[in-house]
Amino acid sequence: MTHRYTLAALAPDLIRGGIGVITAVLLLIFTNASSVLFYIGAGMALLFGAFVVTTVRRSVTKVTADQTGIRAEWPCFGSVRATHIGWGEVQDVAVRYFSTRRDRSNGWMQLTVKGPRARLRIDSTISAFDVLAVTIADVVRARGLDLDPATAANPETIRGTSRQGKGDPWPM
Amino acid sequence: MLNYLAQRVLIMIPTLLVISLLVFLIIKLPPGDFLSNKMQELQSQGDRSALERMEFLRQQFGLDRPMIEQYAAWLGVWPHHGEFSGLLQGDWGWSFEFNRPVIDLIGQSMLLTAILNLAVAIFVYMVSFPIGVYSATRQYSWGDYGFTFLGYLGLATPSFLLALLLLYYANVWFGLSIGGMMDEQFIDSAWTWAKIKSVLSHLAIPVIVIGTSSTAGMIRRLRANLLDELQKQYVTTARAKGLPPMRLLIKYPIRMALNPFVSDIGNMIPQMVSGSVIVSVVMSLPTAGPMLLQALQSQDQYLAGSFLMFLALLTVIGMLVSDILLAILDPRIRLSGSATT
Repeated sequence: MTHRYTLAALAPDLIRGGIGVITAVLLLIFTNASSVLFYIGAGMALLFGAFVVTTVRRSVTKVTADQTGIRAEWPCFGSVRATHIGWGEVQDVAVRYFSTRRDRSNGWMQLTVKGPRARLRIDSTISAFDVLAVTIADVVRARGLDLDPATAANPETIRGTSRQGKGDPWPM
Repeated sequence: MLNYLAQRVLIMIPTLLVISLLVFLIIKLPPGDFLSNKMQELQSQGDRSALERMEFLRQQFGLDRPMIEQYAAWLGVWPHHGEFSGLLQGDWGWSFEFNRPVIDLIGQSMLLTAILNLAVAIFVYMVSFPIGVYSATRQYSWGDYGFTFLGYLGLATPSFLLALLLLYYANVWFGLSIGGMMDEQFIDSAWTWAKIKSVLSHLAIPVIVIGTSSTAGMIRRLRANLLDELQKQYVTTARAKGLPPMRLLIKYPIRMALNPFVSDIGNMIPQMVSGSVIVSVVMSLPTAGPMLLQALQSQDQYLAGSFLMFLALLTVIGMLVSDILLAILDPRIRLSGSATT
């Protein structure tokens, strides 16, 4: 099954990144170069610059999960770069939940799959993330790998709330 | 994590802007300001040279301008006729009360304040952590009841009262000098081993006084959180699988129950600067808290405003640090919340 990030899902991140970059640039322009705020502005410019770059990269990334493993590919300066981790190579999986609210509502999840040579990070804004997270957690559990309490609990929560959680993981 | 960090930092910008506006409005709310009050006082005494100086400062810091212009100039986003360039340019302004740059005043008291409050934080964490864990793992034992009683006692005792009592008994029983953070001969001297020893010997009482209520509160929260965790299914499963009790406790429930410790970092950082104002006044501690109180009382607007903004910045940074640590420590989705999936 192929998963992609839709532009609509990434639009809030792009807007946030844009606001952050503009604010950082304004700080760099209007503050005294010897002031601490100038360095804070420089740090913010780096942070939001990296955020915009990764968001743009996510917008062109295609993730495929099949019987052999998980693969992510994205175009980069005319060529296509790809990372593939076979199910037999998976060393660790983490499903983490993030929220900027104090009550931890309206957050998002991040799935990290670690192989011997590469690490894949997939955000929940990707299409059919619930299927992907639940499936990978099941595959890893079947291999007998230990999952930390959060990674063990989060896919179960998704499974409970998802309509697609019990479907065929590899639909043709 | 990059996504989380970017979103969290982005929230800080409007938060600080709103805080700066509120701080400025609150400082400006009482009628008059430090200079107009001082001018009235000098006028009644007929001091012409001081009056001219006050008028000069008034123009220099734009206190004769409309409030919105004063706010923008204080922030550093509006051109100013005087030498004052605003917070965003790294200029914290001038203290009219102390007749010195604000940054010098804050910097002077910061070291002793940080030493005192860091010692308090270490005391709180070192005492509350083992007691909290003991109380939760031995619920309803004599020890648990004893610590619970002591905890309530600590929460209920006013800090300034405890300060007065300890000052008296420390002097009567142990011969310790009353008040201050060092012996008088070291007050303006350079840092030597003797001065460090003097500071350390004076730290004990303030640390106990300031730390008692926080310790009591922390024990209660850690105990409650750990009890919640110990009753969860994953703990039962781990026990059934034969995981040694101590290893199980340290690896999972304690890690999850550490949330209040981490959450408190957000409050701890500004507390390290301004905390325990009343206790500092009672114990004559040369920390930043009493100076802030004095600045607010005398309407020394640049000292009070810059100080409050500094505290707000520390609070926001503290919250950011604690939120990042919490996100790392406990990345579970809440069943009551709804994730964007």
